[in-house]
Amino acid sequence: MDRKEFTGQVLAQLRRLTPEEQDAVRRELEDHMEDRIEGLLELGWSPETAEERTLAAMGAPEEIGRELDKQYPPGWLWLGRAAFLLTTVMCIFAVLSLGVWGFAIDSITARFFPPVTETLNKTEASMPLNIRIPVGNDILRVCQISVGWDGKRVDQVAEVSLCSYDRIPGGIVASQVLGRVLLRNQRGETRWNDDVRFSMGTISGGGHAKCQYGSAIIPIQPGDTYVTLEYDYLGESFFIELPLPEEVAP
Amino acid sequence: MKKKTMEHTQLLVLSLLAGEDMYGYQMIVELARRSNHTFDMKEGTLYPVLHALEKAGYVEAYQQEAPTGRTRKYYHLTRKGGSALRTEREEWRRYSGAVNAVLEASLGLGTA
Repeated sequence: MDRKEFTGQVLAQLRRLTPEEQDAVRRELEDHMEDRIEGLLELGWSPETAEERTLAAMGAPEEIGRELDKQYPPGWLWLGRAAFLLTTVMCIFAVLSLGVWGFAIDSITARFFPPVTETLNKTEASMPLNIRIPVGNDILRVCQISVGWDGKRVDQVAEVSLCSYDRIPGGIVASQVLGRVLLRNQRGETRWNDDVRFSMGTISGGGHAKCQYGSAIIPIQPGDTYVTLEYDYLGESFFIELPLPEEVAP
Repeated sequence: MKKKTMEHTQLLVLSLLAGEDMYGYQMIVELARRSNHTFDMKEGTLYPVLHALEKAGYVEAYQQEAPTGRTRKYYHLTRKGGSALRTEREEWRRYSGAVNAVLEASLGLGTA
């Protein structure tokens, strides 16, 4: 065993000490042995014997380490680690609550895997769609069209699932995009507000309008082949015919 | 007799530091010299004692250059340590006095 091994064995026992405290112990022990070896060398001992005698005089490293460890309260190191962990968690929560990540995740979801809002009681047919319409700084996406019954009317209805998000990932979408969408059937009947069901982006994050999902419903009649989706607000307008799912078109 | 509240080594260390600030190796040398090599403790075991005294607030440590030119960790007796030393020294005197008294008495009996 040499000096390094000795201090190594002492330090191996120091579980409650911080790295800085361990370093201080190492230096203190090394200094002690250095002084003693120097004293023995001055007396004419050979370096090997001087080190050997010094180590013998020091005592058992494990025991010294254990005794040293006992002098330090067990809680401090763990308290420090717990505080660090808590701080990290709080920082993550703080960042998440800013909505940055929530926005980004929602934006990505809306772009690539838009959750389809469908409220029909009984669906007869549905067709996935991927129509993206720029509206100002936002994108309105038509995700699906379905035909079925909504449980309120005798008539068959068409339901169009929609989603809107900002052009820039993470941006805030204007709430009027979904709110101003109008669905019209072939007889020119429209419903606005009462039959257009919207939900704010509740997929993740929350509290901010980062993505919106919703659907619009209009009664249809046998023989209908399409419905139209319209928008006209603040100088932006569009008009799209959406064919009803063909195979089951009444 | 009250239970002794302090280890002998702690008491000896405090007494050494009452004279001047010292670093570990210096204490070992000084202790051996003053006790005429009676206290032949394992030198490494001094450090748990020193760190315990430091945690208790009886001593405080600082870095300073020793006469050898190397920087060493010096220990200084605090006011709290000084008052603990006075109490413990008194306690030790009473204790050793009592032990001596018993020993003397038994010696008297043995020779009687």
